[in-house]
Amino acid sequence: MEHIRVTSKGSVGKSILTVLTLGTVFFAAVKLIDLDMQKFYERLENAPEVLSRMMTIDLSIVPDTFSNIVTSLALAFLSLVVAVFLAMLLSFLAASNIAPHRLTAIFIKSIFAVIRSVPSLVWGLMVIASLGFGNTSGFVAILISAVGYLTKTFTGSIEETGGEIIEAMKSTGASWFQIIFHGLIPLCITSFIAWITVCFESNLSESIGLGIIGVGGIGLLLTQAINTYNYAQTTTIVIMICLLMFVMELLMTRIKKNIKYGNS
Amino acid sequence: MNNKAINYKIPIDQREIKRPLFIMLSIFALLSFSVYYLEISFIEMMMGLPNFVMFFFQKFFPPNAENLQHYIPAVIDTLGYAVISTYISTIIAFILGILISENTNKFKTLQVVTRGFVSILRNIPFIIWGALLVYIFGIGGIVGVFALILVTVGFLSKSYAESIDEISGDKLEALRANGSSYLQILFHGVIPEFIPAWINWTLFAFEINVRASVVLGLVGAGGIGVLIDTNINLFKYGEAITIIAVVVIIILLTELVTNSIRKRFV
Repeated sequence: MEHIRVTSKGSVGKSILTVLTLGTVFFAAVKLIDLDMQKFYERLENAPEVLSRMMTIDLSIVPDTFSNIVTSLALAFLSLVVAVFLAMLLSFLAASNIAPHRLTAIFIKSIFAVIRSVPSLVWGLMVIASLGFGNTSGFVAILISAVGYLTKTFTGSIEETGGEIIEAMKSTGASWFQIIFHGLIPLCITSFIAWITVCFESNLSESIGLGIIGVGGIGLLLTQAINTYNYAQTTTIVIMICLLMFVMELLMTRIKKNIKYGNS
Repeated sequence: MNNKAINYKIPIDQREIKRPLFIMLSIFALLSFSVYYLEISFIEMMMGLPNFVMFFFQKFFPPNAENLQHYIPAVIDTLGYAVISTYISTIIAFILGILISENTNKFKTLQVVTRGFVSILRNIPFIIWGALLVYIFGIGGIVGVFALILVTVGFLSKSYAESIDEISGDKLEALRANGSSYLQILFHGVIPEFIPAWINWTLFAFEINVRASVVLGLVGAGGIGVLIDTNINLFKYGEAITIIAVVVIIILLTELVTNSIRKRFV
C-alpha cells in the first residue's frame, strides 16, 4: 500500500525550525532578565497566608465603594463625550480620502501615533505633575488617550467605507461639509458607535487604574485599603471592580448588538 | 394627477425624530450629572487641556539625555517580561480556549466554569492585578511577569475561543464521521485552521504586553516604568521625558515588527 502524505514536503523541517527559533527567543529572554526565582519561591510560601487573610469581605465599605464607582464612571463618561467630539473633528481631517490636504492627514496621523504610544498611566503621571491631583487631571489624562484611540479607529472606518460615496457625492457637487454630514456620518455611525463602546470600557479601566497613581475614584480607594493592609476591604473593592466591569461588558455588548441589527 | 403632489418637499432625513432626541437628552443629562458630581467647573475642565499643554512644555522640556545608557537594562527587562509572559500565556490560553469553545469541548459545565474564570481575569484592569500581586508577593520583576500572564491569559483565551468557534463545524463533523479520535480532530482539524488567527492574536497580545509591562513598573513590578515614576517623583522632568521618548520608540518599533511578521504569515 502506498503511503499518502498528509503534510506537504518540507513543512516538517520548517516547523521544527520555527519551534527552535521560538524556543531560542524564549530562553534568551529568560537568560537576559534573570528572574529571581529563589526569592519568588520564598515569597510563595507567604502567599497562602496573605490569601487566607484576604478571604473575608467587609460590607461596611460598600456604600463608599458605590460613590467612588460613580466617580470613576462619571470621569470615564465625561472624557468619552469630549473625546468623541474631538476625534470626529480630527478623523475627518486625518482620513486620507476626505482630508482637505494630504499633509494634514499625514501630520495628524503621525502625531497621534506618538500620542497613542505613551501608555495612559504615563500620561496620567505627566498630567498630575503639571496640574496636581484631582478630577481635572483624571479627565485630561483619560481624554488624551481616548482621543488617540478614537481618532485612529474612526479614521480607519472612514477610509475603509468612504471611498465610493465620497466620489459619488463629489460628482454631484457636494461641498466638504455636505459630504461629511450627509454622506460619511450616516454611513459610518454604526462602526463609530461600536468603537465608542470599546473606548468606554477602556476609559473605565483607565479611570480605575488612574486611582492607583492618585486621581480619585475606586482605584484610589483600593490603594488606600492596600496601603493600610486592610485585607477585607481590599477583597471587597476588588470584587466590586470585577462586578462593575462585568456589568459594563454586558451592557456594551448589548448596545453593539442593538446597533448592528438595526434596532435603533 | 393633482398639482399639489409635485410641490411636496421630500425630506432628506426620513427617520423618526423621537428616539434620537431621547438619546441625546439622556446623554446630556448624564453629562451634566457627571460634571456636577465630579465638582469640576466647566471652565476648569475646558481649560484643563490647554493648561496642561502649557505646563507640559514648560516643565518637561528640554529633555535631558545624559543618562541614556543607564536606561538600557530597564528597556531589556521590560521587553523580556513581555516576551516571557506572551509565551507562557499563549500556551495556557490555548488550552483554556479549547475548553471554552463549543467546537472542541462538549461538557457544558466545564465550558461555563472556564468562561467565568477567564472573564474574571479579563475584567479586572491589569494595573489592579499588578497592585494586588505586588501586595501579595512584594515588589520585583517576577510579579510583573505574573500579572502580565494573568491579564494576557484572560484576553487571549476569549479571542482564541472565538477564533476556534469560527472554524466551521462541517469540517470537524466530517472528521468525526471518519472515525477520528478527539486528538486527531484537534491536530488535523482545529489547529491548522486556527494558526493564522493564532499568530494574529498572539502578536496583538505581545503589543499589549509591551505597553502593560511599561505601566506595571509604576506599581513597583520592575522595568522601565519604575524609572519614569522615580524621576517624576524627584521632579527630574527632563529625564522623565527622555525615558518616555524611549518608551514611545520601543512601542512604535514593536508595532513595526509585529506588523511585518503579520504581513508575512497571515
